Formats: sequence, structure tokens, C-alpha cells
Amino acid sequence: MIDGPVEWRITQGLTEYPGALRWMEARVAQIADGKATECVWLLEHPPIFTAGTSAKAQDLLTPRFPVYDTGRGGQYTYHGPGQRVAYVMLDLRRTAGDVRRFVGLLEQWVIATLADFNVQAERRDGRVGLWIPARTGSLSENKIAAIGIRVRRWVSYHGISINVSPDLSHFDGIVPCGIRDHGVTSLEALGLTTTMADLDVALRRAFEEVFQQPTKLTVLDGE
Amino acid sequence: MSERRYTKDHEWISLNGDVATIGITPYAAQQLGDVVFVDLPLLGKKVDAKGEAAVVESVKAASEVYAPMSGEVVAVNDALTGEPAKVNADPAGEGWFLKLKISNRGEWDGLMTDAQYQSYIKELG
Repeated sequence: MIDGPVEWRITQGLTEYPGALRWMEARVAQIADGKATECVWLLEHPPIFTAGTSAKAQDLLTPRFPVYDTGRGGQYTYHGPGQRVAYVMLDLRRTAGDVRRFVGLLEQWVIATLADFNVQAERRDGRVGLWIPARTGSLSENKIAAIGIRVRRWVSYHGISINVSPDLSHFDGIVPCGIRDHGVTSLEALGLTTTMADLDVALRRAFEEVFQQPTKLTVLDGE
Repeated sequence: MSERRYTKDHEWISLNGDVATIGITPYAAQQLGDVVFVDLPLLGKKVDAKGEAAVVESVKAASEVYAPMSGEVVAVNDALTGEPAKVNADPAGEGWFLKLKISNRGEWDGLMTDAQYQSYIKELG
């Protein structure tokens, strides 16, 4: 592995899913071979559904957007404009040592990021992801961020997604993460006017704090 | 019980004639946390040593399991499909993943012995 700051890569605009996946897989191979530094990649996808390794066919209710099999952990999820996706290509041997602890750090990272906006996201036993207790409505709590990773040769990829201001009705096509009795929410739905740029600043600060690693910024225009 | 060998990626392998049984070690099972899903290869699939042989999902993480030796998949543990928790309950026994008809006996000698593996995981802490 190459020592050095984690590349903090931000792509503006929308990034198509298949190309993003190919890019991640190439970078993971380079990291595992000691030919590239670790990387966190922030982007937005056009509206899509993705299926994790344990996705159940019955949870895809209406395939109104393109559906991709991904190989990450977890079930179905939605990505789309207004949702920040952060892909984490990190060497587990350096950052966490084991998979369970690594997922715990990812949760901690999201919690610390959202805390910057006075949003208190909470963990739930047996339901990985970050949850906000509901103030109104029939659902007791709503998911604001999702987690799903793949580990290849001790390097992670895929990552987290945080709902800033996506069209929440787009989630209706699936049962997110296979959980029927809870909903989804976003910073916007919680009454916040947070921009993607605001969130990115918070994500970077929280990442450096939680993972104890410096980062180096690269900003790219979208496809 | 026949002798077992180990990989740095925490797979175990035992050999009976030219058929090898493969699983993940208790150390790996503990590090993964609760296993919720195991994706096993199709029978007849040929795998290379250190190539991807299976995928194990725990806590929203899908981790690849590698073949310690090259060969052809001749059996998979279907019980894991309905009861993936067996991987945590008995990783070295009922939680086995697959059997390979091995194609290169020489690869065995490159794998860690039990004593070597135990000192390896002690170093990892």
C-alpha cells in the first residue's frame, strides 16, 4: 500500500453507475497492489436502484429506474440527484483491522457529519444505517443514510449515501434495505437547507477526525 | 481429523485424497460479525488459488472468500443458504463453504500450518 493522504475526490454533476463501478474496481486493485493511495469519492448518481448481495426479488416493487446488481453488502437501495454518495476505497488493515469495526467507523463518520447540522442520527441494533426518530406520521423512525460495502483483498469499496434533498417518492419503487415498517427521510425533509457543498465540508472534517487520516482534495467536472 | 492448513486471508482447508474442504476460520467469523448471507459458487466452476470462491455478507459488508488452492468446485454447503448463522456458530465444522477437486497438490506446501496460523493471528492482535 502507498502511504500518503487519502485522495478526497469530488465529482460535480451526475455520474453514471456502471462507469463509477468500473473506476472503483480499478482503483481497489491498484490500492491492493500498492500502486495508488486510498480514496474517498463523493458523487451523485442519476436515479437508479441497486441490489446488494442479499437483495430479495420481492423487495423490487416497481422497477421505474434502471436496476443494477452491485456485489455490495445489503439489499435494495435507491440513488439519485440530491443524495450524496461517498464511495470509500480504504485499506482495512490500516484503518480498522476488521470488517465489523470498519462498518462501525462508517456509521460514526455519518453521525459526526450530521451532528454538524444539529441532526442526531442514531444506530439501531440489527439494522445497519442511520435513523432519525419521526415526529409525525405512522412510522416511528426514518432512514437518512445507508451503508453497504464490499471488501476485496482487504480493500473496501462502495460506501455510504446520505439523503440531502432527493425526491423521496423515488424510494417507493423498492423496499429500502428490505425493511418494510420504516421510512426514509432527508435533510430537506427535516427542514434544513443544507447544500451539497455544506455537507461535503462536514463529511471531510468528520472523516479526518473519525478515521484519523489526512485527505487531499481533487475536484472533477461530471461526465 | 485430517490436517488443516490456513491462508493469511483466514480461510482453512483440509484435504481428503484430492478433494479439499474449505471454510473460514473462527477468527474471520468473529471479525465479520453476524453472517446474514453466503453466496456460493456453481458446481463445476474452476477457481485459481487466491481467486474469488465465495462471498460472505455480514453487517452490510460483502467480503470475498478466496480459494486456498486451485481446483474445480465439486460440492457446496447448501445448508448455509437457509442458515448462514452456521458460519458463526461452527466455522471450522458445519459452517464449511465448499469442496474443491484440487488440480495442483504442490500448492498445499505454501499454506500455513496450524501452528504458523495461530502465531500469525496472535501478531494481528
